[in-house]
Amino acid sequence: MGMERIEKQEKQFSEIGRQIFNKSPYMLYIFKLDGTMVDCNKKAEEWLGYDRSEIIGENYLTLSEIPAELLPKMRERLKRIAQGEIPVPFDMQLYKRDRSIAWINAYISFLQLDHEKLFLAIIQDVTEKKKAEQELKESKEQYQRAYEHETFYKDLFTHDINNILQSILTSLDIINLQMGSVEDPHNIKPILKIINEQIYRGTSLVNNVYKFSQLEEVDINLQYIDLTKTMLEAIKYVKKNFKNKEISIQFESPKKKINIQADELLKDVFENILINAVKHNDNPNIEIVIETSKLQENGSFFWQIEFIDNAKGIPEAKRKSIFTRGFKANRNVSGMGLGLSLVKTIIDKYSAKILVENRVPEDYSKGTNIKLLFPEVV
Amino acid sequence: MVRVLIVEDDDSLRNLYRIALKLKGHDVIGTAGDGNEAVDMFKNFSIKPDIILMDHRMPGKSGLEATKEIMSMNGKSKVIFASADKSVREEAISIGAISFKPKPFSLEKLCSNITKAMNGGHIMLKHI
Repeated sequence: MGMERIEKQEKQFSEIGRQIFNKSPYMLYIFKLDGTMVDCNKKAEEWLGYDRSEIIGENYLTLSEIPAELLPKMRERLKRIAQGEIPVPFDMQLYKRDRSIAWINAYISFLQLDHEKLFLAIIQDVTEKKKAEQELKESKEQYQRAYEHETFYKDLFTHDINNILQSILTSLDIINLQMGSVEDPHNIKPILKIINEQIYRGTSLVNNVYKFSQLEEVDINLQYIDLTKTMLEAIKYVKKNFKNKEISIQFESPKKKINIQADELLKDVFENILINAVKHNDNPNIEIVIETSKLQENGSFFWQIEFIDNAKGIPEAKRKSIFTRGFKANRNVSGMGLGLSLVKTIIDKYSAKILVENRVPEDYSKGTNIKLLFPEVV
Repeated sequence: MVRVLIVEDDDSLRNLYRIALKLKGHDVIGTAGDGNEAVDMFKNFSIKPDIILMDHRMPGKSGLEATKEIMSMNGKSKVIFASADKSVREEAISIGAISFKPKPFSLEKLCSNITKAMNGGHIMLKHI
């Protein structure tokens, strides 16, 4: 092959390379090891919103197209490529000239041209793809939520409602068996009481399900709520609904008014904790003491409300599951109603905390101390 | 008189089963609030119960798990499953339960199942 032909071919290759560079549907940037931009193609100019003359000679670091928090990672990646690491394509976010954010897929390779070492970045705008992925992700999450809701309601009907119906049906069978016996009214009365309790259980289950679904749909609007007033209302409600039980609820109102960042569901929180202490209590005299105190933890102040009861207590093994009934719950968990899960869901929305302890430290069977911790409102 | 062990986590229902079965002339020899308690009680009975009325969904150990353990201790145990969760019916039968009662069921039907179980063993299951 003659020299002339070789030179011609090299010239041709060079021209082909130039045309590929200019006509590429991808953004192409060439820059030095220190980040100084050497060249870019038309597509890169148009896309980034800078004129080619504004790009060449500038350092990609000073173009402020790469978010500051990603720069150390970017430098590290380029260093590794310069050291011979095989480059792999990656996704990242960039600022365009109008400060809009775009997603790109970049493939950066190392070029050795004569005595100059350069990087070639081949970039594709994947913003639309990322948006579609995000929409797909959100759609999947929505589908998952809908599935969880459906499972949750199905679970409630198959388990809780059927248990309530079973209790009522067995109660009626017992009454039928006892009717006509000499002690009939004496025997039937406690069974009628059970039927009454089961109807109350069903009603409160329906109410709690409604509140659960509301919590999922609507954001909580936090406001200042008077602790004492809400507590007194909850105590009144519980006493009214368990008239047939001997209940002593001792609550010493704090001397000064305490405001808590919550909403109207705070009453449901107090009520469900109190109802639980009453429901799971076999003592002839049900005793609940409510104490309020101020605590300091890691430099922050909290209002602590303790509900100390003489109920059956909660064994350590059961504590993990008492708050987990809900849309994402394990279907095999049982034993407690929906009340404490609702409490936990509301408390989380308030950014407050709930703790479960024994009334007597080493003996769960002596009762429970449920503690609520609310950040102090200054 | 049939000796019955009741396993049910719902306090109220457990108590009602006990009253109802006693009224029907059965001897309720024990009640357990979860699968662990049921297995422990079964181990400690010197004379094993004739019938075990077993709930499924309970804290700690489920009815299926407790039944498996009880059957491994005594393969002739007669377990009547009483659960609102119909999805476990096939599994309950496959591990040795003689009957599956979907809640809610009447006392009459339960007692009829107990009688059949005492007379012959497995009860024909009608599809739910």
